[in-house]
Amino acid sequence: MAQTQAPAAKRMKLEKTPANPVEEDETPSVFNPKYRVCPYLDTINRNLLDFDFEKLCSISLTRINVYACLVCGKYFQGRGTNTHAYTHSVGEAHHVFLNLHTLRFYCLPDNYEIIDSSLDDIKYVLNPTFTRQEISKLDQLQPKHSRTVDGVLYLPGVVGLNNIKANDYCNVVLHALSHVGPLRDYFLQKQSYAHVVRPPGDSVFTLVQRFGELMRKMWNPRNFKSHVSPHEMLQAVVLWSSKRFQITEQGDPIDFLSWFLNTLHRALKGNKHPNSSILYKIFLGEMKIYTRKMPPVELDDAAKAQLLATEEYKDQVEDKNFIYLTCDLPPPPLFTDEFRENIIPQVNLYQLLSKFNGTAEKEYKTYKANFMKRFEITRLPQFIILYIKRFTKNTFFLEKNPTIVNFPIKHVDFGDILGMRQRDKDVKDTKYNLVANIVHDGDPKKGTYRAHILHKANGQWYEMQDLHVTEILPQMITLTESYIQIYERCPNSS
Amino acid sequence: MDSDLYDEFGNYIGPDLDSDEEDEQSIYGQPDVQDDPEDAMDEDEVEPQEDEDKEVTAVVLHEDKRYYPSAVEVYGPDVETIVQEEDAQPLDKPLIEPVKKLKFQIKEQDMQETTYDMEFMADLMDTPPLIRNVALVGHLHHGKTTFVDCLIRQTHPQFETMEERQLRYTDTLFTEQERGCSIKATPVTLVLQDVKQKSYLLNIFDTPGHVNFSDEATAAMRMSDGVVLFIDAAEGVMLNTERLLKHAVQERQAITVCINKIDRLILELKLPPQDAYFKLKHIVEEVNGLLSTYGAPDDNLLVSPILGNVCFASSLYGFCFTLKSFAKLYADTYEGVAYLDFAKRLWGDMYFNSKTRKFSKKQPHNSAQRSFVEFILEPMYKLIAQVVGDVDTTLSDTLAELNVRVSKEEMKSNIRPLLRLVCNRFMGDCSGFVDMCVEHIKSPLENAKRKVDHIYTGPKEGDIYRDMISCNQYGTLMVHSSKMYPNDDCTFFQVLARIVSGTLHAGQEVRVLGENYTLQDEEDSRILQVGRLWVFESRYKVELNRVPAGNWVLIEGIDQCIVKTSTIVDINVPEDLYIFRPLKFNTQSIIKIAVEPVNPSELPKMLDGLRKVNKSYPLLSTRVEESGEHVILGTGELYLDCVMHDLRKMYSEIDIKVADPVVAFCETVVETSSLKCFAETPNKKNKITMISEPLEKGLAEDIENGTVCINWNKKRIGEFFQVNYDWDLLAARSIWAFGPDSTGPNILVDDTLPSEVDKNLLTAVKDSIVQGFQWGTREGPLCEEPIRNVKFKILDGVIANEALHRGGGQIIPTARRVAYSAFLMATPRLMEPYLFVEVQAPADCVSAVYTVLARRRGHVTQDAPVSGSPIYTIKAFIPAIDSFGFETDLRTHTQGQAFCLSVFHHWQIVPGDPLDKSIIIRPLEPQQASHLAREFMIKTRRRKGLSEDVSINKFFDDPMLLELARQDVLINYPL
Repeated sequence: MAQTQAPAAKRMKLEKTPANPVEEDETPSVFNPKYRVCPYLDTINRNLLDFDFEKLCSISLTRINVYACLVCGKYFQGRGTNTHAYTHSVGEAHHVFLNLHTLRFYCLPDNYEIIDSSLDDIKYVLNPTFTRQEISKLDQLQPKHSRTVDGVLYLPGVVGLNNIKANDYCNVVLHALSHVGPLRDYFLQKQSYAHVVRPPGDSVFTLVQRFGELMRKMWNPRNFKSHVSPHEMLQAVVLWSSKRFQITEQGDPIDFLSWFLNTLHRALKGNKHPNSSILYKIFLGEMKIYTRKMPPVELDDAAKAQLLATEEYKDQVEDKNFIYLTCDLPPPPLFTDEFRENIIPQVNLYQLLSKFNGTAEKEYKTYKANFMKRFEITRLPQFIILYIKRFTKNTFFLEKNPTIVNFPIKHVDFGDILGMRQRDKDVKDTKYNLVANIVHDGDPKKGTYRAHILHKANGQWYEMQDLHVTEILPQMITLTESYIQIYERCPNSS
Repeated sequence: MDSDLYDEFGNYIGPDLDSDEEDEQSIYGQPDVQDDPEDAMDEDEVEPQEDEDKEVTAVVLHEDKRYYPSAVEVYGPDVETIVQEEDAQPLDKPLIEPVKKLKFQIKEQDMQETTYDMEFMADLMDTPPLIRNVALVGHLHHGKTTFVDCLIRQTHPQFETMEERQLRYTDTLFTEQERGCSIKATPVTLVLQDVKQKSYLLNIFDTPGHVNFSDEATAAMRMSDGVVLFIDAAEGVMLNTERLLKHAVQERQAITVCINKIDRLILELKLPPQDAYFKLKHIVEEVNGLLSTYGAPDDNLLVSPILGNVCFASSLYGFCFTLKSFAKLYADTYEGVAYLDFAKRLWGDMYFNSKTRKFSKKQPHNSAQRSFVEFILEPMYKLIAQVVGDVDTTLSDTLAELNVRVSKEEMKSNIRPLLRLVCNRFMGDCSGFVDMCVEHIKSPLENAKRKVDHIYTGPKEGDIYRDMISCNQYGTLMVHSSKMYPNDDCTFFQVLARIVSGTLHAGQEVRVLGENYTLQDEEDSRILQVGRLWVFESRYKVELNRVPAGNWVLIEGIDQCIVKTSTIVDINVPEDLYIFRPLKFNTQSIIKIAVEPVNPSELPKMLDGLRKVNKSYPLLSTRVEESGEHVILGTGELYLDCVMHDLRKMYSEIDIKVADPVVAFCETVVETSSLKCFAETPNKKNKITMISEPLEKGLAEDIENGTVCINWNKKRIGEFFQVNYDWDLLAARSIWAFGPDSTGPNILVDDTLPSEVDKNLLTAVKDSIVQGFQWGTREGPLCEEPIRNVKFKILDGVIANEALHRGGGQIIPTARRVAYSAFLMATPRLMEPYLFVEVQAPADCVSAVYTVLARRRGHVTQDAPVSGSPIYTIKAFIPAIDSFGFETDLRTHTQGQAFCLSVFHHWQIVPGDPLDKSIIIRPLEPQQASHLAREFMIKTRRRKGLSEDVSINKFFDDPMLLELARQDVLINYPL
């Protein structure tokens, strides 16, 4: 609607001008509705352009009508006379500006719009767009390496994320989620969440917008840099988690993942229904929990038998959802072996998963009573997140369990933990492939996090640690101390 | 897991969240099952029985014994047992943290009970002739807020109490209640009745009286059609009274006066009635003197009790009257009194002859009193004296005679509430005030043309203009907003606006035009959806679904792109859109502080808070210096203290470090340029020559006040400069621009000769030269402060023939550079802001006031007693940079007896040459007077991240430097 008004005003201006040719010569107007070819396009310095940071005027801190100077990369407000962008243009002789909201180019101080196809790459970097056809080919075609402004090659989807100070725990989660195919496809298209009805003043939706922008930047095949700074995303995270997840303090990736998935779910107007948002569609599973109360150990056998007959001590069945599964590691050995070295213990993934087979019982102790619980999976989601619990907190410090988990990378069969009644009908869909692996190295509170990502298009595994992206052999992944894993159901199993 | 909100499978198990609420951390929802065996505590061992051998009448089995009641029995089935890890949280934190809710102002959630129906009020909103938009302005502590309390008590029955404490209804912020003075201008909308019991809708804006917050009064005047000027009867016309009166005249407001606190003449000063009359008369004459000074000759502004635009009040004791309403009291008591004629004879040299029962201008006998004294003051004195002194003896009989009913319980209460009750019941309600407003302040319909002509920047033709001047509620929607108020948790703002024409509906889509919107530059506009609409009543809001023209409205949902003021229009308007003029203030923001968060990671929160305080305070401005400093500019110490409170507590909740305050400076020249300065464009095809010289005294103020406008036609401008400043006609007609904006205090003159310069080519680049001149005057060369009081003359110009070679990118920087070089050649100086200080003190403290002022480079201009009181008023000037802590210092030296207010008054040249390189600035040493300019310049440049000294190389071309060398001037300036 604003667009139809402006041409009317411009048309009136055009009609007025020929009527007074002498007036035009005497008082030339700064405003000229015609589009002109700009002689300053060669002054654009693409190396300095960075659209990853918060789009504020660097002088007045406002978010309205912010322009980026394409020569020095700074942000300024306004285009009319006496604005900061205008002052910058005449003061520094920087003439080409880009409106960060409307994606139009202007030449200041002459104040006309530049329409030139050679600037489309800048527009694309600020606002990458993906068509449905392009998205469907992301995992199929053999990918081509892209080239940045300074000649560095990079592969879309496996670009580094900037570690501003201590946000590696966020970076690994964002790296992992960017390779969850349906989630990535949803956020690569802005139209996917444009229909969400938001009440006036809803600001938590900013988190959705920032995550979508970050996804599109990470998969941008025409970026100017081979890395992305998640600054705007992390600002939204700090704001909406009430400083619970900071840029300057390292946190726990599983805490961040829980908070992030649930907050995104709510921001997309999700509720308890399994199909109410994309997140529940792909991550939510179902299980039954059988809880049995234990009689006190000091009672004799007759009293125990009498208690077991009461209602309170029978099995209680509870239906529950899950977003990820917590696997408990066996405790590390207390003693060294005969060669006076600690053994690094190893455990098989299936041994950890046996917790959920419906028959294994686990004791949970509270102050008054003990409970024995059995877990039975009734529905497996398309993506399974496993959380291998390595950190335990006792009275004095945080301990880390360095047990190495052995797991195959492909064709992990989760059918063994599926309930008996569900196995028959779902027997063909229980094999899963690993798509992401988050690793912790070092001591608790001082260590670092890394991510191993499978690039599905070329079948190559990459190790991502903040800005560093290297290829890695699949066999090396199993030698690490896995912390969080994401598995995807095999599409065409036998 | 350490997570409190999610169980081990990622499910949210925290407290139930509404989808609109923020995500909050809470220790509720701790999982009741711990899966870590080490966390479990050992159960207490059961103690063995010791009374086994006792004789009992019944046998209780061991397993049936219960030593303690279970939690279910004590607390009910909803109780939940939580086992907490040892040292899970520090000892000083409570186990169950109380729910913290942020609250900064007094708000009522429910609709308040009123003496009228809300439907009746909504009907009155549809009738513009019955609406009055009024702003209550005046000096600090002159009773504006307590006067609104009287109106609130009159219309809201639940506030009719016998408490001694002041209600202060419109001071909603906790800081306002604690400080005891208003900080924010707050509106209320009331239905009130005049002397003839006719109901009117009064939109009343209560404004702060502190001079630092006069920007709030400016925003209130923009919404209103007239002002009521409150004057304390004991103090008289004070600093802000005069300033606000002048401002109201400039803003074309109808002016009425309320002489408040007349009880102080009786109870505190104990003046005889005759002297009280003279004091009141003196106040009225003082106001009329100011009106004749500030008003235009044809405005014919005059206030007088006889005219009915002066009322008398005591807001503390709840009565208010005009001559008319007081005369009506007599008419109600005695038959045959024509109160309108009676009222005309109650002021001035008018005496009542009791023998002939006629009024005369001549004193009938020596002991005769004026009619005002006899009929108004003496009865009031008698009533107050009896309430104060004779409650137990003669008050009952007097009240019975006056037909005032007071019950026995009320008679036994304290003196102050009793006095308020008696005065209120004797003199009735505030119908005199309503009558004064109705008669002398026009309705929005009648005042529409005057208001629109003053604030609308568009042409005075077309449908939009016609709808506005007729206040047409069925016409084009035009809404003007001037203030924003935060909602309860200070995350968003609600916009207070006045509907100039048309009708605004809730949920309507509108286009919001910002202050920078022009036809040529349409980007400061946005299409937004209006949320809910309210009538704002300070502590509560009345929700409406539509608001017609002439009313004030509080709008939700459109605050995102508004910074200060805005214009709100329909989406589809066929005509060209223009905005309402931004606010023009009667003071300036000259105090600067730099802020930064203590924790650097909280910078985004501080930036968000800075944007919010920028919306909240009309005259506040924030900016980032080149060195990265975030700077806040405000009007004074109290202003910035309130801003920092809001920034720390309300909008950011973070710790903020504040640098020492400094002031804004100006740059000026005192001589004419010593040689012609020229500059060439980078393409060497254009050349501009300029000199600069100071303006005549008073011309800068005339431009700033709007006495002369650049938009006038050349003939009118020429006449103004010829008549007032003896310019020759040709020079006056060659004025190109004022700078840095259209009301800026610098002038650009085209002094070229047609025989030397191609005038057509010069006119072709006139816009660019004006842009460069205005940009150069906005940031001067000494320390990038605005230039002031300088005339720039264009002496020569060689302009290229081709348009490509004389574009804006070439001419604008060149014009700026030549303006700088002309400025530097004309003996540049710094200017600093000077504050006008008004001190009230008893006589024995006057010498202490002199001492404190002298120590801070201040000087006294007037020292006079306040007539009728033992207080002295001292008027002085003090440099703003030396005024920090002046108020505290003054109180210390006078043992708390002196009270002062200071406000920006004028700019004055700082002594010393800022370019004198021989001056050595040593840290931590005070500078003598002749070194101040250089010290200020160097420190300002250092704070802004500029280089240490002004470099001539930067602004002079190589041919100019050769010219300097040839003139042997080079050795005097740094390279």
